[in-house]
Amino acid sequence: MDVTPFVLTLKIALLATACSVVLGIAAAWLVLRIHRAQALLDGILTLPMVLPPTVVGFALLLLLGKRGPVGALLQALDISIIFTPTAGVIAATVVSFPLMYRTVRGAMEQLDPDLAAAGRTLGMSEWNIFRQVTLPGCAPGIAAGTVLTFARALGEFGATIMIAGNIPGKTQTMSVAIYSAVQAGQSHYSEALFWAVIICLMSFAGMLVVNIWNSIYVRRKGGRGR
Amino acid sequence: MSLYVDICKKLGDFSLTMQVEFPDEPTAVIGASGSGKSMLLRCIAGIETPDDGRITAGQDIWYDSTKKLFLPPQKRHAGYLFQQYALFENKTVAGNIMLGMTGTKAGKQQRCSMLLERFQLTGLAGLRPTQLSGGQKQRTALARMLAAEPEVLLLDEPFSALDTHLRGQVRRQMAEVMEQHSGVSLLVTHDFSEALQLCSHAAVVSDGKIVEYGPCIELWKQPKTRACAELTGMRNFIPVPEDLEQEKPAMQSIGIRPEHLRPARENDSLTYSGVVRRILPGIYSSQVEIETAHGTLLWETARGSPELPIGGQRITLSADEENLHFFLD
Repeated sequence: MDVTPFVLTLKIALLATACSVVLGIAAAWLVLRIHRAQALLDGILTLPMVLPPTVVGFALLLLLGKRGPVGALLQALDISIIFTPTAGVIAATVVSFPLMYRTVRGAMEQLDPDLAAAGRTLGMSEWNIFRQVTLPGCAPGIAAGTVLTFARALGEFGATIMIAGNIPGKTQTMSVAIYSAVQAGQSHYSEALFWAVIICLMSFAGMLVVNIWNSIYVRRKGGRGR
Repeated sequence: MSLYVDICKKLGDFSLTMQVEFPDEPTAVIGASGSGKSMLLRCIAGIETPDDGRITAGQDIWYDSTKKLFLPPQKRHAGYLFQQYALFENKTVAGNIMLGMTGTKAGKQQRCSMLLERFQLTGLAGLRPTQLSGGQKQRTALARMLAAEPEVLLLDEPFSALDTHLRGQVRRQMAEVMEQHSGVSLLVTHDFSEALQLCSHAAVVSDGKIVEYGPCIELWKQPKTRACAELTGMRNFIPVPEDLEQEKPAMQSIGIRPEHLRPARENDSLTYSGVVRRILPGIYSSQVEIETAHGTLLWETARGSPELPIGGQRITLSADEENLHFFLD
């Protein structure tokens, strides 16, 4: 049996999660510092989560396709993204990013604003406050967001099939492979079931790892106060 | 170096308008909760931005709305002690203290151990804030503030989160910190006794304004506003009687401290009679609640005093003329 869908899915999901974590944290931090048009910006950043994935995929196709603004630019540099694993990473990132952004934003809003204020009166630079106060303070939120993002990226189907396609051995991820197997008829159901179980196990394992990490983190912080 | 503040800030229905100059000595900012005293401190520190005005520390301009100048808190060198301490929970006690330091690692560690010793934290250096008691957290926050070598100290209700028995202990430490500090130090509090113990002068804040400023003892002896009188422990406010309206025009109320009331004598012009409602015993003095035509009066008298009435008794009280304070509101 061909294991490339597994390897490919893992690669895409990990890369997309990494992108979403960085972008999500940065977006949450930025949005909370902007006061004008905050609601509008928040809406735009959350949109990929509430839109049907096919709509997101279609929008990405228009943007990154040969005639699209970004696609044309890349074409000039002799780079084509559509129907490559890179497109898979982009699709998974865009769809999973809002989960990270929202979770981290919630964690940042919960953080006592006096902590950052204390850092400032102590003379710490904004970057140091972000690195040493805000990020550690949001660590449980970041962890929770990472799990959600990874699980979402792992199962991404709609936008992926629109821009990365279904090329076996090249862009066919597990969730796309399930779809193909079901399309091929009942004799291929065992294959679909196999990938489905693998996805379930991976998502579950991801959550387990973070939960364990979280309990260690809480214990390390000293647990409940006296 | 003195600290000059002249700011306006609107917060919904509440507006803060303050103009004051704080000299190089421990000064208290007294006010009821919600009076704007903490907001004043936050504006000075640069945690909040006023709507307009000017803040200067000696020659340095910290904030000037006309010049669109706002010096970030990092450059103000103002140490701030937060009500809930705002310690960094992911760092140890020593880590918290060293965050605000500059210089070489060895130098930081040396100064850190000095501060740890000064605030009796040496054995706790490796603990995290969640493992500390209230008093230990308070001392860590003090050490962290001083580690950044601030030129101005801003102490926001430093005792409010502590149990009573810890307050005395921390108060002594705070007195020492304020004495040793050479620049401006401001103590925000709602407790006049704290102001009296730790500061020579005080500014009284009421409804977003500084209504009085002066030596603490003078504020107690001669409060000019009702807000100041209430904050310094005056409890009885009675409307000015008609026959005195000519003599004291525009005055609305007479204030009398509970300890200044006494049984009326023959030649007293102002007397208040009523029925004793309740007697609240204390260690050295008891408080008597008397229901009069002008509302409830509170009279404080020595515990074993022969003057002490019994519940239900009808009594007439008065006060010496110098102990009557007249207020415009």
